[in-house]
Amino acid sequence: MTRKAKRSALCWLGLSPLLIVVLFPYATMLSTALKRKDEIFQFETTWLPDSLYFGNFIELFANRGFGRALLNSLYISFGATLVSLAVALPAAYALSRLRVPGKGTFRTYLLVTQLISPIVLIVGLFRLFAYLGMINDLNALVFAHSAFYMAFAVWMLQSYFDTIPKDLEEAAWMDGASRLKSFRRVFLPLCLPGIAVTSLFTFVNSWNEYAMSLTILREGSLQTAPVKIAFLTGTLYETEWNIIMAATLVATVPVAIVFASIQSYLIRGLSLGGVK
Amino acid sequence: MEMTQTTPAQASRPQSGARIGRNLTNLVFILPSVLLSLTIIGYPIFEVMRMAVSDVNRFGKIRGFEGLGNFLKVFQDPIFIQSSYQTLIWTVAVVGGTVLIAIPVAIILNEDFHGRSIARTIVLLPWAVSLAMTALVWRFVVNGDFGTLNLALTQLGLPFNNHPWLATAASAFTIEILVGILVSIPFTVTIFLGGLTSIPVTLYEAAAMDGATRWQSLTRITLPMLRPFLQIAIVLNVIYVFNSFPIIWIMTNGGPANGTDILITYVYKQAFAFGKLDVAAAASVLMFLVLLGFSVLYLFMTRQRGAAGQ
Amino acid sequence: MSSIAIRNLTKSYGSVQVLHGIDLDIADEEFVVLVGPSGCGKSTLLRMIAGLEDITAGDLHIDGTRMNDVSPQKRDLAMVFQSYALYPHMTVAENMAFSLSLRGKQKSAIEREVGDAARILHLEDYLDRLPKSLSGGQRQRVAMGRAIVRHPKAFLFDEPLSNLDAKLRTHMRAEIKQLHQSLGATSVYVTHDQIEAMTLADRIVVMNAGRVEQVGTPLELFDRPRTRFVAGFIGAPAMNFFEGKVELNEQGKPHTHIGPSPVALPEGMESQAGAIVTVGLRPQHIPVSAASTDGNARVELVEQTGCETNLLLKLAGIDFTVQTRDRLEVNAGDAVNLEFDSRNMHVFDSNSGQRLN
Repeated sequence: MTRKAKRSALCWLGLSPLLIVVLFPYATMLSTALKRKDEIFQFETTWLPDSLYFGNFIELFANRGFGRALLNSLYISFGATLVSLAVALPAAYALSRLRVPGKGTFRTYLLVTQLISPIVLIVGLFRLFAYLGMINDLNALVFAHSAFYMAFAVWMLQSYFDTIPKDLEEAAWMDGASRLKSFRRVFLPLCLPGIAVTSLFTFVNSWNEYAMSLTILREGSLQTAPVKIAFLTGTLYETEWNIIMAATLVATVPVAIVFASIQSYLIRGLSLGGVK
Repeated sequence: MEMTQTTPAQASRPQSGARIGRNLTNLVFILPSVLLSLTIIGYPIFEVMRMAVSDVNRFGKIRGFEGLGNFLKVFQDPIFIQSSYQTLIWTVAVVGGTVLIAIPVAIILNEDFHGRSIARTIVLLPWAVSLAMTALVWRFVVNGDFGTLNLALTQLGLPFNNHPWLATAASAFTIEILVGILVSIPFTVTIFLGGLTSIPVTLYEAAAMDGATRWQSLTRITLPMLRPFLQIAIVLNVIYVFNSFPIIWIMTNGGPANGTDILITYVYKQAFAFGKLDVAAAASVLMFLVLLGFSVLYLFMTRQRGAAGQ
Repeated sequence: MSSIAIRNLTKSYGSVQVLHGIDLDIADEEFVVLVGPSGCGKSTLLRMIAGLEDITAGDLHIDGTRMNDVSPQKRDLAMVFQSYALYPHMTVAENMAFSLSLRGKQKSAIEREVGDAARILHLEDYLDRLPKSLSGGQRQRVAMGRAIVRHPKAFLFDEPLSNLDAKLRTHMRAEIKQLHQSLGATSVYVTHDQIEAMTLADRIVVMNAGRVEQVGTPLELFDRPRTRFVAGFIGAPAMNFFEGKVELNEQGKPHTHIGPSPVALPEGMESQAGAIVTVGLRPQHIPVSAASTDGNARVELVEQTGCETNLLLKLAGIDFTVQTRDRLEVNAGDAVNLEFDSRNMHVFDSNSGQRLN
């Protein structure tokens, strides 16, 4: 065995307990989602279903309104990503490039907003949206999510912007490009990867948020996917785990794939600026 | 900007005025973000504080000034005291467990080995999944009658057939703490990996030339240089775990018999199950003060680090 | 092409003043090099000309028009950056065409200009490449090409060669010089390398601590440095200095001492007997000869460059560097004889650093 092969085996061995625990729920999800209901409540449970059964997925969309929940989640996550990007982009640009009075105060302020949890404020948040008449309004969640995930977006974007040499913009100015043009033709194309990663990260956070959605969207047809799934549990003995596992599978796998694709950027982004 | 062509002394004054003016217009860039968060975060803070000192009915109508009465009610509630104690256990156990596991995991993931990116992806996977869904799946996994944990343990020949994991508070709380650790590992590992990649390779090469073994360079270089990242990871995790709601809410709803309630589920129940909005607000303010303490600690630590870095 | 006039220009960051009243006139088609140690303000001055730094006070005129408050976009100057600042997402051709396309030039005209510049700079084969696949020297050329295609009022260079290895630097230095000769473009060039300054410049501006020490042609600076700082900065190896008190002999001729031995000073100095002066002598201007045992100086180190031999010596406790083209048979520890010729001496006031002869 080469040295690297030996090291690889040791590394995988060391990680294996954690990897098993991480993957165990996925095995559970998959095995349960493909079983018939009566098969789960059998006396002898097994891993493999008797036969692959896709009825749970059909049931989920046809009779449980899960498609609607996914659409609600999509709407909120897209909206929150757009809004938080719209406010975070200029702020991150200013932090990275411009002289702004009170820059230090703004950084501290961002930190504080990140340190306050939405759930500590849940009573106040509920009142705010009640005043605005936005209880049971998907847009309330768009704004709530974008406000709470904005700080992280600013940090990630700023850390990315800082890696783009200022010389490039100055060269564009010398070439006769206005500030707006140099931003659009030189700066923006270069930081697109950073913007993409930040957007995906915000999207995933918003997609997964539970407590605010649970509290502010009180009507069944407006529930987001995580809330809907939690509601499907119903009472303890009649819980249809086959349906629920099918739903979690549908709601998590696409997001997990997206997340896996940006995972290496997250490590870089966080080490550059996120935790500084 | 067109300036009159006069003496330099005259010309210089309006110039610097223009510069300050331009700096002020730069405020436009950060203004939207400030306004958004002031509305969504600032206003609720104000509301929570107002309700904490008011008498509020279950429909949210403020009936009068209550002073510190709500806080008194909170402190006289034995479940609040119990929840506080459980919050302490919850936070210390989850953060401690997370950090203890995350350090070796990050060090392994920083090694160069076959399939490293796959391993990294799997370790970070729980981050991608909603806490609510993770909690839900685990609730099924540990289900006594048909959960897959008992199935797997029985298949390994262990006597866990139909073991009701969530039936007692101690066992349920332990399971929840383990799930809490599992979902906190990805973020923590990410911070540590960031720290590890920031250590220059030449440092290890220099240490090797100086005769350090791998173990020595781990304890004498890696761990000391991870220290600032360790501090940050602990403080951030304390804040996140202290505020963590879905795991406990979905797995046990604070039960059995409030045995797994922490402050955040206590607040939520007071507000949305019992309609005691004023009591919930008072408890929120207390939590807010604790968080503020952590925040100040965090700021202090980052300042210190910034100063040391310069 | 154009002239640049700088009047009493100052720059402050908050309460820290980094440039103290700079005056400079750059003529049309002139190649002016700003040189000085790092932190002397030369890059700041260049960036103020470019419009990338605000002017705190004073005036900047280009072609007679006051430019203080004109944005860099509208000054019509081209700049070559130390980092080259090539747009990483554009090809070589797009990089060079960028400024022209911003000005809305016709596509055919742009292609012609880019083609011409590429030919001059030997970049024809690389037009479709991205900057990251180019070598350091090629990137440097693209940066130059980006400036050339514009036919700007003036070229600004900010240490453009400092990222290249020594051999390439010498080569690119010659190319820049040839380019200037063929284009006749007004150029302002910043460097910390005095050889670059000497070889490239029509006129050199030596800066130190935010002030201009001297402006002059390369040979003026070499032959008659106006201050001790310029004397020490220009020329390699650096000039030797020693301090002494001015004394007058019976005929009224000035001299001083190195240790016990008297050394004649140049006549016609503006200084009184008893004044403390610093005497400078270039390493090339101190004849050295091997001595038996009673030489006045002792060799500490011998450096061979092939062409020349550098000797590091000690004379009466003072360090001297001497450069000779003779193949001397000397080793560390040997005694040698140094001669001091007052005609080659540069004498400075020890307090003010100003030239006295």
